[in-house]
Amino acid sequence: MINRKNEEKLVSSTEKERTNKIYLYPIEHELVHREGKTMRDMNEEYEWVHSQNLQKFKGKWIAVINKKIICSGSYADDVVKEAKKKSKETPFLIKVPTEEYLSL
Amino acid sequence: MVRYQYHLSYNFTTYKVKNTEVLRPIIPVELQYKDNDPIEFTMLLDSGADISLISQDVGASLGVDTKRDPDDMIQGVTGDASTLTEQVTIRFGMGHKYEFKKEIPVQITKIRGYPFIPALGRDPLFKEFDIHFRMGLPAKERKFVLNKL
Repeated sequence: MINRKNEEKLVSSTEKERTNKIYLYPIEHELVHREGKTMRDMNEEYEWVHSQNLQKFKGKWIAVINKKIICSGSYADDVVKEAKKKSKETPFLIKVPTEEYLSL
Repeated sequence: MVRYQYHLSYNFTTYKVKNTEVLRPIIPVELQYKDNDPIEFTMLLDSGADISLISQDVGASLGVDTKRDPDDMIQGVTGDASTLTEQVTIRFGMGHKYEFKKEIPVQITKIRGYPFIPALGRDPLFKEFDIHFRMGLPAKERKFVLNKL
């Protein structure tokens, strides 16, 4: 959502100030309730995964459900099959990089 | 002045590669092929790619018949690859006030494990969003932002 107060300020500011501020408007994230329950925040789950020690999963896919790594493997289809055997919930698949290469 | 409908912002994923801090614009998404079960993935927001690209094993996990003959070819900076073309529904922004859902064209390689991470190319995402990579800002403000046009 665009901060309307900032937008109003932008209209009356100088060109230099406007240029600076356009790229600095505040970012808001609002969780919403749909059909009575809060939808899962995938971004939060991803950031949780990235904060974990993933050394042993380098180069592998990991399947995450509710902040738990339930299985891992070299190929996504194999990992999805295994994840579906372990849970009925939608798996979140993340490829853990080897961290040795720059990507193009 | 452009007025955006909403925006979605994400932290860059930070890696240390050869003593260099690398910031990658990686976005959690849900992908669904036809009426198959959706699967959630992380995709690299790739401004250098014309179109989205996923590996054979990722395509197979979505239920795409990846054994059929290729119908297209892609050319990247690291080489060429035969591909299959499919329409896949992408959804992201879940859990926040706004979310985005659209059927997009996706190229699927015939190679397991290539590309290393699913890539989200410019078409059609960059036509739907004004995308800012704020890499030069102080660490706390260093985000990439998708502004819905």
